[in-house]
Amino acid sequence: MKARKICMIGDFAVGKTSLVSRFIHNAFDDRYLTTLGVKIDTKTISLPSGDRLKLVLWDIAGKSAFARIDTSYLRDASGYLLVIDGTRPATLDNAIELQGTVEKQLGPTPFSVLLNKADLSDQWALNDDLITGLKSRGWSVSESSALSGEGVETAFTRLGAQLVHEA
Amino acid sequence: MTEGLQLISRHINQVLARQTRPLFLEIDDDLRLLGARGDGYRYGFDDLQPGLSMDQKLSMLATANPDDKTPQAWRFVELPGSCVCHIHVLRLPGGWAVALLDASTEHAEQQARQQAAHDLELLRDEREKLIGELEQANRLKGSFIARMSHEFRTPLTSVIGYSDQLREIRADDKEAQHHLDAIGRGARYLLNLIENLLDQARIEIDQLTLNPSGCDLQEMSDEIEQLLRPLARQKQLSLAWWFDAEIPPRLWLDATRLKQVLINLVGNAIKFTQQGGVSVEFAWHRERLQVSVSDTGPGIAEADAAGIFEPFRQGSDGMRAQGAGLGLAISQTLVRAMGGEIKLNTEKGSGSRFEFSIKATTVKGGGAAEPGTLSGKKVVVADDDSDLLELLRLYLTSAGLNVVTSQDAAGTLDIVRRASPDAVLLDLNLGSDDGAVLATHLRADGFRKPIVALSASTPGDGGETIQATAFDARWTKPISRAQLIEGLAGLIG
Repeated sequence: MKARKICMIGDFAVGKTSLVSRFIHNAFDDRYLTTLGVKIDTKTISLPSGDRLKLVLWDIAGKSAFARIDTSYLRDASGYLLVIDGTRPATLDNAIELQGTVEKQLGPTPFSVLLNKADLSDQWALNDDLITGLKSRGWSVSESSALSGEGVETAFTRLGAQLVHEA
Repeated sequence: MTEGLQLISRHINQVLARQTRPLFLEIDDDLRLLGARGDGYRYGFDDLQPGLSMDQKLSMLATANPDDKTPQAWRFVELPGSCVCHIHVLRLPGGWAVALLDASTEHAEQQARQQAAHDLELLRDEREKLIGELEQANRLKGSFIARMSHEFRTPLTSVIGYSDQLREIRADDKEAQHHLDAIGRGARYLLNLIENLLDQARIEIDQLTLNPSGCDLQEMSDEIEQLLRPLARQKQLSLAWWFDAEIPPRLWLDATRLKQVLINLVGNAIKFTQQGGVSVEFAWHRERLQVSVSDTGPGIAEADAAGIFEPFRQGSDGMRAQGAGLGLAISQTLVRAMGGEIKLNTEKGSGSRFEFSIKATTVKGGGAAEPGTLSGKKVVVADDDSDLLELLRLYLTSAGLNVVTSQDAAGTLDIVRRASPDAVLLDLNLGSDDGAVLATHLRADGFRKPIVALSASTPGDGGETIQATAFDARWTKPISRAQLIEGLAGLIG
């Protein structure tokens, strides 16, 4: 069975660990527990083609004033999910910067942008212009909610299919 | 290596081994265990038998590049069912050698620090977001106050002005005079109440500003007397004004604010006094105006007196039960803004005395020019409210002035060019036009005579972009005939 490494990239507290937890364990914990280092987990998915693919997920500690992304975790990654907190516009600016860092390390690599916390619609702070700005870069952008599960499975599966297709 | 070095080297290896509990693994390319040495339980291995599949536990090797011979090291890795560890990997011919080192203690310490730092950063983000929302709400509130201020003052100016006009026209009709007095009192009471409410809002958003001008205390007391005398007379109370001989004839202070404070204090005193009277005293000492308002009312209980300057406070025995409960709170804030502090001396059953002193300076050169000198002068007045425009025209023509009116900016510009007036009075809010912008255009057009801003908002409401350099004066509506004529006499008389 094929295996592909996918990294979770984004600012601290954007919900990377929660997205992985929803995807792998179908669980959600609303307490914020910071990730230090990396959490590695796996899940085997069935692709639309019928093939099975093992995703090795590297949930990497988020970027903050306190911690920088450790680029040694990126090695051999086939793709990544760039996660933005829809209630904190600053995490979008940082995501753009992080994408540059990752691409510098890995070269051109498939990725998708997830605008997470879509359930917090009353606190949503990303306007259409900002989202259009991301899409105009040619980036694949979708909304997700680790709390409700909206858009989570699709995001991982779609990226997985893309990795196999492009390999 | 010397024996000593061998000893210390062996000792440190033992110490590090105790701290990190290393597990060494050799794995083939199919991720099957070839051999193991160390504590497997710590890392979630129950039985480390050769041939065991490491596919799940060491999944990172499944995606590692087999052609990359560079040693790899990852810090603080959380594997399923394992303690947090540092992982070192060496590529071997046909497989890998892996070392797992327990880092759980170090991880817990660093994670606690990182958690605290991130929690703090999130709180800071939240605080900044809240501040932004509050600032936005404050801006909206400021704009609402400016709009409301204009909306309230404009019709009240008409009510007060036209009832004054009617009083002159029907001077011989006592019944009409009585009715008109009631209309005027009601309108002025309403205006004062609105001023208090708007001021309270301005105080809350920190937009209260002072607008000093020349002030004649005698005239001010006459106006307040005219407003409050009927109520005092109704209750058969005396209302007395005492002026120290040292008081300069004209003082430079915010007359509107001082008047507002006096209306609040004297109005309250009359309201709560059942017999006897109210007296107001003015004294002058070291460039400060000292004011006291005394009454022979029931006095105020100590418990009520303590919080009497708090907004919306009502006394325990019905004190301040009428009105919005804002007058004293606002008066205190206004007096503080003017550099003073209202103090209350009172005792239950023996009346009350409110006293304060404010900064003021003497206006040199005596009073304003005589209104008679305005006769024949030409004035252009621009206001988008036709009722107010007509009222201003009536006021001005009664003083012998030639008046040309306009209701928009373009018309005003044209009239001023053709008529070359002695002064221009501009409403700051000329419908869709901005009076301040028009004033700037007039100056750019070469008009050098006085331009006066007429505004239904008071300075600081934030609703108007007044450009102070274009205007010679700013007068707030409602403006009385006397104020208008005296003000103009001061500018062009």
